[in-house]
Amino acid sequence: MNRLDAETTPHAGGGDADVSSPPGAEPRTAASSATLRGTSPGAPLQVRGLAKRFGGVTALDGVDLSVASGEAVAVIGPNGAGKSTLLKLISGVHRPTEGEVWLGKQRLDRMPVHRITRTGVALAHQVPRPFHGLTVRDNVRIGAMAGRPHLHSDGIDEILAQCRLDIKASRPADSLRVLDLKRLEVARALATRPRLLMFDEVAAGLVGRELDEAIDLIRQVHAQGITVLLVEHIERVVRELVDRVLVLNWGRPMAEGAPAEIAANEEVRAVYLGDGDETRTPAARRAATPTASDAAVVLALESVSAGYGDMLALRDFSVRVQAGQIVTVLGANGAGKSTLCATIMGAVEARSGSVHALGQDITGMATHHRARLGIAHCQEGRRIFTGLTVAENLMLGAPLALARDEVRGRMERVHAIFPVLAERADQPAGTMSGGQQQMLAVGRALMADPQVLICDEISLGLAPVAIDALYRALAEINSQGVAIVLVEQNVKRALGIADHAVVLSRGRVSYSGSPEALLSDQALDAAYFGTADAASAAGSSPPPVPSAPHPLSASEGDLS
Amino acid sequence: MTLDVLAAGILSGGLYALIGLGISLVFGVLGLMNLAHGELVIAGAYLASLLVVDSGWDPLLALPLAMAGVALIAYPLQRYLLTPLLRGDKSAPLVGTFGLSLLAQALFQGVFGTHPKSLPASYADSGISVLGLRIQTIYLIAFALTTVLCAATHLVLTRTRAGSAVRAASADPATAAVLGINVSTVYAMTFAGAAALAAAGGVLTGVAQSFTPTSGLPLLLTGMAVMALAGIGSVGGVLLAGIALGVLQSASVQLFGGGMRDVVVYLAFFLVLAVRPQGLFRKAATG
Repeated sequence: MNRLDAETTPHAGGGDADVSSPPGAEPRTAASSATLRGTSPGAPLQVRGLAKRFGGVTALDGVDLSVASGEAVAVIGPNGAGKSTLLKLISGVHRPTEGEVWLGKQRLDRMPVHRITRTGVALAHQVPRPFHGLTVRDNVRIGAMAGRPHLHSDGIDEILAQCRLDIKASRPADSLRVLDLKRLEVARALATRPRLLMFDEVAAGLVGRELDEAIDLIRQVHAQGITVLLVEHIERVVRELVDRVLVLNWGRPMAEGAPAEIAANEEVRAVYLGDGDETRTPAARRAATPTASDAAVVLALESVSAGYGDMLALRDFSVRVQAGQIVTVLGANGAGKSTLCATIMGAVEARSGSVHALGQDITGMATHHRARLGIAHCQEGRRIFTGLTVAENLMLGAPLALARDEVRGRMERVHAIFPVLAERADQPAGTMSGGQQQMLAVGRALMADPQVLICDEISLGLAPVAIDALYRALAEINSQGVAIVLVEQNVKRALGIADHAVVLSRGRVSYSGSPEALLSDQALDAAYFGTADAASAAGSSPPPVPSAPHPLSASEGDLS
Repeated sequence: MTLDVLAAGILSGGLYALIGLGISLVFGVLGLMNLAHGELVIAGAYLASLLVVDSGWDPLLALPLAMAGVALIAYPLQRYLLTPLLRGDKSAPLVGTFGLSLLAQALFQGVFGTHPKSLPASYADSGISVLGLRIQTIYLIAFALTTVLCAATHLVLTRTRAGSAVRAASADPATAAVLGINVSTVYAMTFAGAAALAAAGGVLTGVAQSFTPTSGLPLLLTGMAVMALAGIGSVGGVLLAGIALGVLQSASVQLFGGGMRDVVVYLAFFLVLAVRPQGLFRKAATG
């Protein structure tokens, strides 16, 4: 908010851009700063009786939504509820089967996509899609080509500054980390001079301070007067940013109201939010955990370093996982969590150190041998075989040489944990919802009858109820004696279930110890971003660490 | 166009499909364009000729042995030469298979000489009448055998766990490895299977026509055309594309004479690809 005030005040008093512009450019400049300042930009959105069917599948049916000019509304719902479809229908990626979409006085649903964009509709995607090989600035400039009238280069600079990309403007877009990629996605959308800006789960995968910054950025956009439509799973984002929430379920509107009303709505809790009691599951699990300290170590990494090319993504990492234990590995994006998983599985070679599992040195072992040894890896992004059926996917998890009866037995055990996989056995895996696909990925890993299960970001992009179901399943799997390495961005959930927590920060361990001690926001922030105590614990001097590596702190420094 | 021409086209199309199937399988699963596929076909014919010409076997009896023999040669080639190449530069495997192709041609020449050979059989030149149409017996046999081999390949890929392992390795080798599938073995088995199919095609070609050490190239080109027409990932599509190509060839010979045969075929080929770059018979899922 700080930043917003600083950004807008100079313009209110006649910014540099206005002063230095030649008279001829006056109207354009005025329009541009009006857009950025928030005097006239938003437009009301009207969605009437919108329906979309893909073949025989109804993705959306009978959706009415009106968003006033400059209002912010969130659309929530379980995976597969039709949220993304709604955004795609509004932005013209898909054509509605029935119904109308209006922005102000213009009807959108019959326009080609590029005209919809020019009319003032922009969509920031969940997975950022920059033009690779172009610089950050060029990416934004391409967005500006769609704006009517075109945004000139001062406007682009303003947007870059607003999204805190000004210092990275000449870098190639490929070199950006996740938060900056998301900022670029927003910057590019802003450059099209939207009157309606839609955010499709832009906060997914962000944690701690990154999340704060993403929320701030959306808040700024809204404060400019642009109409905002959010699709989001992270409750906090919804609560802090919008006044009204539309809940979709199975493509139909289920409830609409203020965030507090929705949070109290029994029906919504049942299909989407879940019971929200994150402490219940682990409590039930604790009893089953062997707490003896001499339990067998099933996975041990000793000062492992690993990386890609010249870059070391993981430095001097050590951890011991005992049988039946749950160890969670947390950390900001790019901290080295996925590299750790890849190193344990052998997809990335350990440059130094050793990896032992189940009594063997596996440091140089091929990936498929590690899998057969009893380490199962549930990869980030699910990685299920979408063209194969659910049953085929599951069977691939079991060794090929395994007798049919035994395969069937394991499949029944997986079905007992995830009943939906039995119901959908003959369906192509790609046709299931995100939550179901994630269950399939975990179920497939279980088919190997592993002793160690590595779960990489299994709750990413899932509705709270789906996460509830997955975590209940994890507790059950663990109670059968399977050790679990849980890599997560969903900090509260992971800490709730884990016996031991490790936090990675820029490839190094910044915290290793009990999960309870991390539950306070301060402790977590310190471990994640190396402020205060954790920084000194990691052996760096406190003052430079918090400000230097982090763009947020740097730009705050500029302003004050 | 007379029915004779249509029947001849359909039947010769079966052979094209058999050759195209191997190329399509290797490309679909390994992402490798095997430029030595024509030589695998010819290797099948030469191997069979050892038994047929020298020991007087019936070519159809020699066929399974030729398939097994070529598969046994192909397996280590993939496992120890081509798979390591696949990990490196993208052009390396392409150049590698081209090198193998030249090497094989030189070997054939050294061992068997450059004189055209053929596999003698009683049904090589005989014909039978089906519904009043005169048909060369060998093409009927070839077509039947192709249908059986295509069906078998389809069933293995879709109904067995080994088949789903192949499709998994094709879709996402990294994930397949994480699930304990030895991707190198899957690749080598797939390549060996494709080589066996090629050898079967070679024996049938050898009975129907004569062959020389350099006969592989036109067969490779035909197979590639079949693959491109069919699109990747559908065994049934390969069979249909082979037949379509056979009918087209047969009809163009009838209408424009033998000289225009390849011109018409490749024109059609470009036209189809311009309109449907994904191939004529491509399905959404593999298999």
